[in-house]
Amino acid sequence: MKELERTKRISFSAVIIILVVLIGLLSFKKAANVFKNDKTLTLNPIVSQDYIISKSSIDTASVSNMAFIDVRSPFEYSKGHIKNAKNIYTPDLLDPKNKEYILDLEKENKTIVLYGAEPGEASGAWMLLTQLGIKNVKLLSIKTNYIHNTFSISDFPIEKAQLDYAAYMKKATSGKIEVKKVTPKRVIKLAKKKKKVAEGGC
Amino acid sequence: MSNTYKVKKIIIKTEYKVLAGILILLAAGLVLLPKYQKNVGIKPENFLVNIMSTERYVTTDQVADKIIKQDPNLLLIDVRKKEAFDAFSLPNAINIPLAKVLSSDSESYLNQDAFDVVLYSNDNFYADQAWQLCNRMGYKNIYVLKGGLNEWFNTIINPKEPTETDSELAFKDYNFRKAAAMYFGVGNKTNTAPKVKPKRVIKLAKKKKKVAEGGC
Repeated sequence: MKELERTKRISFSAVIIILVVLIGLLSFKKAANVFKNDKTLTLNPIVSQDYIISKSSIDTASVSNMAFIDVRSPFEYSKGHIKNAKNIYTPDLLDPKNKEYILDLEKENKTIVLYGAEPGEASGAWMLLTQLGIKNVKLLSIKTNYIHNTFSISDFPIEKAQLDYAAYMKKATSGKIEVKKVTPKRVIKLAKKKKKVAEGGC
Repeated sequence: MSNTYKVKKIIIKTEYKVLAGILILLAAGLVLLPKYQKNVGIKPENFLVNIMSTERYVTTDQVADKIIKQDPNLLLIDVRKKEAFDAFSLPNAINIPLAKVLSSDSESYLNQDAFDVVLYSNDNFYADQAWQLCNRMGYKNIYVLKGGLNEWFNTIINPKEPTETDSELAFKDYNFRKAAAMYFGVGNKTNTAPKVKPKRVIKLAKKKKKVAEGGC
């Protein structure tokens, strides 16, 4: 009977191993969003700067293959937006519905064009989508304006130096620029009148 | 030997075969599993939260104050191209062009915890992108100069004079900025801020804890 005891133990442990593997497989949850280990994915467009498109470079031929995504808040979007643009606020980019929409656009080989109130607002969204491995994502370098109840967009150059720093500093350090000193307004504090105890009355 | 014992033995033998078969199948299945895509850096969900937060921004006043006080923890990094950096940059800054942010040479500057790194460019677009690349890799203590060099020139070097109706704080800021401008060389022929390259940060590899490393 000893032999039977041993075989029982072996089959018992085998069943446990099978159970553990099965539970492991069934309970395994694949992460919905994964940053892949591919530095060139983001660095290549950054080096070549070809992901930035300006308003003037869009013509009627290229616009048909573009899908605009407005990453501003729904409130800003409701005030006005580019024609046919879909509103996906940056924090909602990873919602399953929105992600599916973006993946569908990628499948259709459309160019996904992101824009915000300024290019800086959409740069985070661009970085996220590109690092998730979505191709054909571009960033529109525009500024949105809302004047007299009408929505309009104008070109917004990225990283433009407002002045020639080196030349300005050369001039400034040569002593040609005057240094003015301004004294702040003098604040006159009014002394509070103390209430006197028993100040008359009838 | 009794008959029942024989029957039992046969049953157990077949059980054995079945179990062994299942184990072999499982092993084969594990070999065929698709390659698991491991996430590198922080999770995309966390990244999204971080890019929405404005905690990364520091103002030009804060940075000027730190430079003047010679804060040893401050490390300024210019992410513009080399030509722009050579023409003009902030004192003691080092140059890591945006394209080289993820190279192994720059990692010792960016992936450390000894300094508060402040990234800047002309505006804050490139600096933001550099910050985003670093944040995704999980680097800590990295900040962005709000408004970049344009804001630096508008506030520190060439501050706007407050009007009479402005608050006292505006006058305080203005006077600080004027004094700071002088520190950075405006209207001053001799006293220009010294340009010294900061020491290179050497990152020590963490010693792995060995199992059973002695002790009583």
